[in-house]
Amino acid sequence: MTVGLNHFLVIGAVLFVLGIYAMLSRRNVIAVLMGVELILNAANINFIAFSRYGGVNINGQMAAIFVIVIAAGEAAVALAIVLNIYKNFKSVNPSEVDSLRD
Amino acid sequence: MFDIIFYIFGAITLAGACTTAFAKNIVYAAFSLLFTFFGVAGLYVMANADFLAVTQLLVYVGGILILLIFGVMLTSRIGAVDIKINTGTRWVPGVLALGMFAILCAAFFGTAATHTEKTADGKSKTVSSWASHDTKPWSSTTQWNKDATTEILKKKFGSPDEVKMNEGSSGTASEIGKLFLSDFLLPFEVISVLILVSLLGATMIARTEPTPEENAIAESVS
Repeated sequence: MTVGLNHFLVIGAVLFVLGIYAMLSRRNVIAVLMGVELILNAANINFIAFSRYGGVNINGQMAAIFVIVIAAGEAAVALAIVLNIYKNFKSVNPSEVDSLRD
Repeated sequence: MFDIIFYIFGAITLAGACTTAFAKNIVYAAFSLLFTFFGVAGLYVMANADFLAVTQLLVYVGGILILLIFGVMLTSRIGAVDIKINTGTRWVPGVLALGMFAILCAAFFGTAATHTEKTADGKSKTVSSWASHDTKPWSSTTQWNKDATTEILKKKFGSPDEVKMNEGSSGTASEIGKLFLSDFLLPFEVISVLILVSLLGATMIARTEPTPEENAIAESVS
């Protein structure tokens, strides 16, 4: 079976699902961020697959470049926030950061 | 040959992602993310996106992964048991993830790649749902607008319609560069402002407040 559009899409789907699982099950904010990176990569694989096989042409690659740039900005801001959370709460467990809860 | 290399890169990607999602030790998770990013870059090369593969290696492996590893080292007490991630309830996210995978696969394989279409003489024929669902690399069918920027670019670099993106060409980098300065000029400028603001904001958020002694020293110097 020759490699086609569906092979890329399935790999993207597995990456997406693993990212969702990492986001939901981890008890460490950094690991949750790794899940977000997996999800962004899955989205990029879809863009590239449709750019190659789906007739979207090079516009799909342009969208993927914008996704990569936004991922870089997101990682920087999120890690700055995580460092502040660690400074204030001495913990990176997302369920322990609940100061606003009464 | 193409298929074998594709499966190798796909296996590297998925093995790295599985380790990232399931590893007990967060350092292992961070380093297996390296293999995931490398495998994804290989998949980009398989799909004729060479510039994007290089960008992926530079930005993800050189930037984001280093940031994540710094985050791991700065937020875990070295020598404590805390470096392990105690995973919480496993079956709720597992069921959610598997359900989502089932929905995605149903969408992929349930969507017909071909559909029948009536031709002018009343006969029905099978055509591809996608514009070019065959394995041919995409050719230079990019839509070009006819504004002044494109005219200038044409004078400088030659007509963009003549750029052939088939095998043996110089890759996608030149075409992407031209698109950045013509069709995608506004998003390009907006996203450059966005990343400037986000990086400045990240340094502002992450910097530590100076202590009163440091403030006194700074005032005495100035």
